[in-house]
Amino acid sequence: MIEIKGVWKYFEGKEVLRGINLKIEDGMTTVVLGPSGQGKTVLLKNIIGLYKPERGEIIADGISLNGLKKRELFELRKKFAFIFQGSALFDFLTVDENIALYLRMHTKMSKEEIEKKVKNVLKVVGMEGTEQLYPEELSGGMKKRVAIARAVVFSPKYILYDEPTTGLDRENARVVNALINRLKREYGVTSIVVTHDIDCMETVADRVVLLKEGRIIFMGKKEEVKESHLDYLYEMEEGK
Amino acid sequence: MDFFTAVYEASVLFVETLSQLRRIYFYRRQIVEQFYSLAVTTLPIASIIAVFLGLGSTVQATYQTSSLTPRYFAANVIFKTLIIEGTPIVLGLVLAGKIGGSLAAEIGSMKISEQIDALQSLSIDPVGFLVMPRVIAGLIMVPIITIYANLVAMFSSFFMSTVILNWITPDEYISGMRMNFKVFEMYFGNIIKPSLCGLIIAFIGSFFGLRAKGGAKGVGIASTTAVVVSAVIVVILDYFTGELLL
Repeated sequence: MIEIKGVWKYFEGKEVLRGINLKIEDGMTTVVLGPSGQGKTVLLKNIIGLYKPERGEIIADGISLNGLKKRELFELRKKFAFIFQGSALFDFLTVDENIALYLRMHTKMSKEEIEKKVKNVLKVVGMEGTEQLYPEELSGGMKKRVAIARAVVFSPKYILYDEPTTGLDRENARVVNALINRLKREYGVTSIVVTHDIDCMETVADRVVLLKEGRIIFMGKKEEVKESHLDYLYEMEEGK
Repeated sequence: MDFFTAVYEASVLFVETLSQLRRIYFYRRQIVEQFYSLAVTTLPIASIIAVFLGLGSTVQATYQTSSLTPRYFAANVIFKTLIIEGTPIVLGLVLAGKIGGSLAAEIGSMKISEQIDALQSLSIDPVGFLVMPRVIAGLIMVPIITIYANLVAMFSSFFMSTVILNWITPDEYISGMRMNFKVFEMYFGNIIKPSLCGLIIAFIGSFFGLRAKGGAKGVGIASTTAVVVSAVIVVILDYFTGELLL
């Protein structure tokens, strides 16, 4: 379980997160919904320790991220995978090298075992046959799927998705949403999805958190959010 | 204020880079890749520069010496000028542009496209994965390239003097090279100075790359700043190493 307790984050004097309190339950998909600029990505990067909160603390599986040494933080991060908005595939590595990187650096698996595992996860995300391609040769949807493959290859407990369907056409967005659900169902992954895509929220969410100007204005089931914050959702749809 | 912040941040990064040296075996693949990349990208340009440095210094020597100057003495001046000063500084400045600029652009574009964050999210230290291998490659490959460039420059000067201009005999040229020969000067021009240049160029390029922000413009700024700063430091270093070690 991840606990976020009274987290505040500033950038150049501007308050981006204002006292966020949140519990992420294991095995659930929590969707953090809100238009651009509300602090969603900042929240996600705080959870994985890429940013440090000015106030408050984040506790993952009973370990507070505050005051962790670099090595301890890296050790804790092995439980997490992060899918970046722009996929952030390493452009100097091929698809299979991107996916294999974690296994090469952190495990003692043989080359053959790594190759087998990479092939398996590429099959899961429907990207067989792309092993030797470079990221620049892939479409946006394909990059996203490779990023998911890179994330699941080391069987993380938590997967954090930053705008997983942004910039994708309807079909690719559907594929990515289906993958998020499949990973939860088959691997028991706990997911946090940050998005402004209401379709994505409706497809994958077990629980919804609505963020506005760095504060949580709603937390609950997806059916409830539609009833109580319809205007905000419309505003969000128009602004995206 | 920004200057002092940058100096502080550079010092912190330098200490972190040194601390990653203990994981040199862990990052061996990245180090080998950087060795290869640095050699492949710089050898052609180093060859061209070396040939023309040799030719240019020979033309200058023949022009400046009068009929009263012993020719082996002029050959001695060419040899020492090229080995100790000419090749290391010219190569250092060119590599500041070539390596420093490309490292800053490469790491800078990784930074703005969140690839550095992605490395960290995979529990891979960007300093160990990106900076340390490049600094090691700079430290070791720049002297190797300089030794090669010095050999090429001396050969082109020898060829120009003895064959094309027929200004000096091969024996006179070689006795000029042997005159007042000091082994330390060879270490100084081929290893000490280029090692320091390589280290600084690779480190400064990586440092400004990691500081890049704000999109393509930010990468451009990082790249230009890296080139300018490393070129200035190379020239300052050239003075101080000569002053302190010779």
